[in-house]
Amino acid sequence: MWYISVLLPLLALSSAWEYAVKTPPLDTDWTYKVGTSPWPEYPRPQVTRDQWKNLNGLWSYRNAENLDEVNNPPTGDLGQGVLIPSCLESGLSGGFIHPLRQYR
Amino acid sequence: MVGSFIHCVNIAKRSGIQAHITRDGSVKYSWFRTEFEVPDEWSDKQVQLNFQAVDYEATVFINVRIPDSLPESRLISRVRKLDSTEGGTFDSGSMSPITSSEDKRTSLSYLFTILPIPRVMSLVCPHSTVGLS
Repeated sequence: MWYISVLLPLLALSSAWEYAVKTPPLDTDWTYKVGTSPWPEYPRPQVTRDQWKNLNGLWSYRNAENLDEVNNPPTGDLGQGVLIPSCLESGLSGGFIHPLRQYR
Repeated sequence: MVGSFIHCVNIAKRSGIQAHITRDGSVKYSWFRTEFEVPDEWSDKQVQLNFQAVDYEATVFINVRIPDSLPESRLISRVRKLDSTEGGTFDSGSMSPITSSEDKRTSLSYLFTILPIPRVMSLVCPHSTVGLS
């Protein structure tokens, strides 16, 4: 079991990326107060349970080129940080801001 | 005993939180990943993994392709979709993804059993929780 206690802490190490809220086109005072543990309460009050864990927080993220990638899922850290839950286009997500669409 | 992780990876497209719409309006696909510990006392019990706000399509991998240096026995033994017409099981060591492709889906749930040993898992989705079923 010695290797388990050695390897697991290594796996748990954070990766190179750092998360920071970006300034969106329309921000509010609360944009910068969300933090990295958003929505910590149990999300489904009608199906409560005594033992549960919230998985919200900082996840790693990367784009996938197409659906074929589902046949070859990535391993390990994905290189960028993202706040879950958030919209990828939002400042809260941590850096994927771009125009949703352009209209004319 | 050392705690366990769950590791899921998940692809989603179109509408909803995981959509990544580029400047030209095309839709991209995204990978999300996290790890978390499953409490030791949940071993040998059915654990429900719940994703909220998965609106269009998501494929979830749990403990797939963990690093070679880790013993394969640390995979989740089984994952079963709760509310999909596609069904699907997830055997230890399997590469089979679990895919949801129903429109307007807003929540996904999976059941799995934790092996009574330390485990590493990977996961992806917004608003996700894990708890005893």
